[in-house]
Amino acid sequence: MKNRVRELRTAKNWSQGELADRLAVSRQTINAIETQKYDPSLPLALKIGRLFKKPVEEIFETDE
Amino acid sequence: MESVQPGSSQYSPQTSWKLHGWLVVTALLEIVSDYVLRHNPGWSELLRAGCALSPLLPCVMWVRTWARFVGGLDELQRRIQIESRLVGCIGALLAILAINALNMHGIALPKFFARGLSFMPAIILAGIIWRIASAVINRRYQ
Repeated sequence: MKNRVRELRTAKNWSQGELADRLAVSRQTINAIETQKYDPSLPLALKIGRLFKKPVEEIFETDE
Repeated sequence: MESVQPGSSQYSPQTSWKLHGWLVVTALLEIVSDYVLRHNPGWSELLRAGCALSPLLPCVMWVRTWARFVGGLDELQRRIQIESRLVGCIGALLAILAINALNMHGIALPKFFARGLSFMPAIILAGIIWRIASAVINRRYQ
């Protein structure tokens, strides 16, 4: 699944560690999401959407 | 939150002890039950079965403690741990089945395997496979 997490994070000038702390996950999880090696769970995706004040479908999109 | 990855610096000896304390109890109980059964061949079948299976109880407690520990990990690490434990358990199961099959057909095995795999060797084998699988799967998500 493609996502804009890295783009949104860098726009806020946050490090991966800062974003991880805000979402209460590990930095490894943020890195895996940004490099598209891991698709987050629905609760985490919703949390990301809420944090960046964007609907989930604007952040994540399926590879089609 | 840092990932509390087994083998990493965040995985403290205290965490390790909490997590694997029941394994130590399992090992001790297995040694004791083995000794007791060898020296009391006259005991009833029921008593012998109870004694032989007694290491199962701390083993179940260990699984419970581990499940709680994994429940507290972040979602990626939880997934990695569940995947790697599954690989470890399947690996140990296959080894047990292979040893049993060889024993059943009377194929000579080293003395250690002559009676199949007991609790601790099976758990140690599962643990070794888990550590390898955990390292491989962790690398996949780096």
